[in-house]
Amino acid sequence: MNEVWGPLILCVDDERTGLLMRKLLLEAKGYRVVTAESGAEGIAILSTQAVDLVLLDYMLPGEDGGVIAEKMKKIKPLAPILMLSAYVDLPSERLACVDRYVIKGQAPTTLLNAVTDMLDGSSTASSQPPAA
Amino acid sequence: MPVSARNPLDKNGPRFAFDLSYLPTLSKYALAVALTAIFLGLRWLLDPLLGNRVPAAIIVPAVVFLVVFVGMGPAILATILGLLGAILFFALPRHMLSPHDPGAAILLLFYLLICAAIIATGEAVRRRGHELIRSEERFRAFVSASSDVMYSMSPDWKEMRYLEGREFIADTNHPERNWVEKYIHPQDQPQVMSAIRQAITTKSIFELEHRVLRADGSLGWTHSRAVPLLDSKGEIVQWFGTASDVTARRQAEDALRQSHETFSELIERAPYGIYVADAQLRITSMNASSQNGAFRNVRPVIGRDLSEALRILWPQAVADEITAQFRNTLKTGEPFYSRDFVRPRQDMQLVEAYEWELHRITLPDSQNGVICYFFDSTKLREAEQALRDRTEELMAMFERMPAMVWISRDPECRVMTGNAMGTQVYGIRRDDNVSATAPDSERLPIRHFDSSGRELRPEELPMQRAAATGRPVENTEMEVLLPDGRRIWIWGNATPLFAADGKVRGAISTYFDVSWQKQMEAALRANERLALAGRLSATIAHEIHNPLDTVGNALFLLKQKIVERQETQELIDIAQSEVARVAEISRNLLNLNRDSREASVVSPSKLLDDSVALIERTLVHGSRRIQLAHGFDGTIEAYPSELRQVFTNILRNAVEATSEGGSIRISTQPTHEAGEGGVLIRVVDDGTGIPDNFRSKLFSAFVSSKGENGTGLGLWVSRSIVQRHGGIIALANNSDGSQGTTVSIFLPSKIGLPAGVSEGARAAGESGQ
Repeated sequence: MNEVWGPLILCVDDERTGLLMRKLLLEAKGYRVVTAESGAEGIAILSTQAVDLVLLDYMLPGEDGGVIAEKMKKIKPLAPILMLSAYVDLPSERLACVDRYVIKGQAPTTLLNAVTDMLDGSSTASSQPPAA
Repeated sequence: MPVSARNPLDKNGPRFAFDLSYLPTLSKYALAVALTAIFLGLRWLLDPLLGNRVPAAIIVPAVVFLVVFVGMGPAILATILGLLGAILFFALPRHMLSPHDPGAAILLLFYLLICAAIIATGEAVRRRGHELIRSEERFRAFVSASSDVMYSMSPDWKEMRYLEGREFIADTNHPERNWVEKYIHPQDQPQVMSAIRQAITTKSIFELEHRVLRADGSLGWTHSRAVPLLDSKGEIVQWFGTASDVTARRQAEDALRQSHETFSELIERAPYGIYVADAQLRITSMNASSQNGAFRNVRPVIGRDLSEALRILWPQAVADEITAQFRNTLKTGEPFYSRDFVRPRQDMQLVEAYEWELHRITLPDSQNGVICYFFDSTKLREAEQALRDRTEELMAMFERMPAMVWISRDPECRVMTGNAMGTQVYGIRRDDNVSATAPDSERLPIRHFDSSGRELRPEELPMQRAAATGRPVENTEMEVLLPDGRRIWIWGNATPLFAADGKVRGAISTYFDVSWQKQMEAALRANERLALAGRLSATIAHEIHNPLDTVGNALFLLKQKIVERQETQELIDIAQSEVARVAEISRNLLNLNRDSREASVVSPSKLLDDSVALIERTLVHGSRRIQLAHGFDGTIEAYPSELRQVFTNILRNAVEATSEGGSIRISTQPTHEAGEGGVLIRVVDDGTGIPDNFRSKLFSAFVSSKGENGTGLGLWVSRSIVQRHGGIIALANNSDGSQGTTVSIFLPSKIGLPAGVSEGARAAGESGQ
């Protein structure tokens, strides 16, 4: 496990089980993971740590993922944001500040590939979710 | 007529003792001659005895008497005669006057004869005067007895000498110049003065009936007569009058005249026409209604020949027809009553209708005549015709209306017949009696059911209820099992019919066949269930993805074998519980959709819990708090899947109305509503409340405040389900003044309550708006 030097991923989700499982998955792939159970906590971490990528759940208590993403972009415009949601038909305006969108419940490799792509910086623009 | 200047009928009577001024003038002079002769004779007799010393002055007492009591004329005559006598008899020697001297004796005798003749004549005249006085006294006595008032007036009537009022009017004992004001009614004064002037001018009797002020201050009527008393030269010396109290007669006459006038007025102004034709069939009298009505174009009409007058009004044939009826009644005495007399007028472009009748009467000339009473019934006939027209229109409407109309004309609604639409829809004959309260022999096999499927008793049917209560029964929906076995749904109103005395005389109802609509509603309801499930599915799918994501990740990790053994077990446990979660969501969804037509005993609190669980799993994220407070742990009879649908709907609405951090409080409590035990469920949210523009149509179909996210059927379906349970559902803004909506649902412990619950539910629904 050579996770010590891997990229730092911020995972935000109010569902603790899912969050835990996602952390395990990403750590197994060599990423460092820091978790937050609310949008506010996520913003606080983002502003203090060198986060390479944000994995943001859409359905959060209080402000939804779209709003949180907007706030995060104001703090760190260059940190890529990957939106995770169980919704298949999120309106595109909710995703304006999101670099990529992955629907929950798909094969874990889909998420891992997306993360790898985004961290490689291959193309954030071309990886816009088709379901917008 | 020579009458003494002194009033012979003076109250105090004539003074015969010394006052001889009443005597006729001739008598006075005769008296003077006689007195002169007596004193001259006395002197002649005494002279020889006293030695020729009796002076001529012996005549002086006689002259003085005459001056004082008779008058200057006779006194002068007596003086002249006395002087002549003295010269004739006493200037001569006494012997020349010797009684033996025949010349002197003859002269004296002649002288005495003249005196006697004069005295006799005077006496005769005086006697006549005396008789007159006596007759006038009798007249006065008669007048006193027969009259109430006697009075005397100056010749010019300016002064009243006296008046004896006999308690009818006040007395006047002294000459009175203001007698007019004292006695005569102001309005009658000109009339009285005019009559007085006339009487004075013509010296004739004054006679007038006029009003006087009576002694007691009231007004009375008097009949007054006065005669002028003339002196020898024909001049009026005074007026002597009498007056009678005719007040009672005048009042009786007034009353009679008034009653006569009233009666005439009555006839004259009667709203019907009256006229009379005499034996020659001439119009002799006619009241104003006739004159201004039917006969308005016949002027003058009185005295005109009847048939001629009628020919002005009507065409020849009609006039002859009427005249013939007059003639018949006049001849036979049989009354005649017109029938359907509607004829075109001759004098106007009009058709007029009259009701008239003829009767034979006896006229004042004791000949027969005919009286005709009539009234113009044109307006009445027009109104009748209008009524017939309206009735025909209403009947056409009743008959041709594309709705079923049933009418019953007895208060028990034992006979009930319908219009074309009604009999057609029911598949019965026109004269069939559809009443459920009809006599057994007539009753058709028709049965009625309410929306919960309960059969309605005859007395529960709308028309029977309307007739029994006297109040309309509205918005009734029933399923009807027809004689031919078809089942239809009808919807409509019933209203009682009232007789003139205010009692119910029957009822009328209007129904539409809403079978097709009911099918559509059922389809809509089914659709709403699917739509609700569909809407939930979208969110369920979202929520299922979360556990699926976790399970997927867990499996991936296990497959990669990159976790420790201990962690492996943990991952398996997590995956298992996530799968169980998915299963529960699925089960709740299935419960919602399961169509159970059978009622069963359920716990409403348990159903609520399930619905809350479903909603929490699928919809609620974050900080909305759902608080459950069960005060009711019993069971009720219900259709569980339908109730689940209601609860899910209500909860969904509450969740959608509240924002993050809001709260929804759900409570149950045992309650009684209209004597029925049951459960009261309250769902109170602190959301946006009921939008104003939805208040009046909360429970209407296809009304939604959620735009594309709602079907607009949720509350509509919920209400129909609650009503099917015999319950009540109401929405209102929170009663404690806080923002938000309170939904109250009452469910009875047993399904299917008598009619009236639906009205209660409607009332509850309205109270919530």
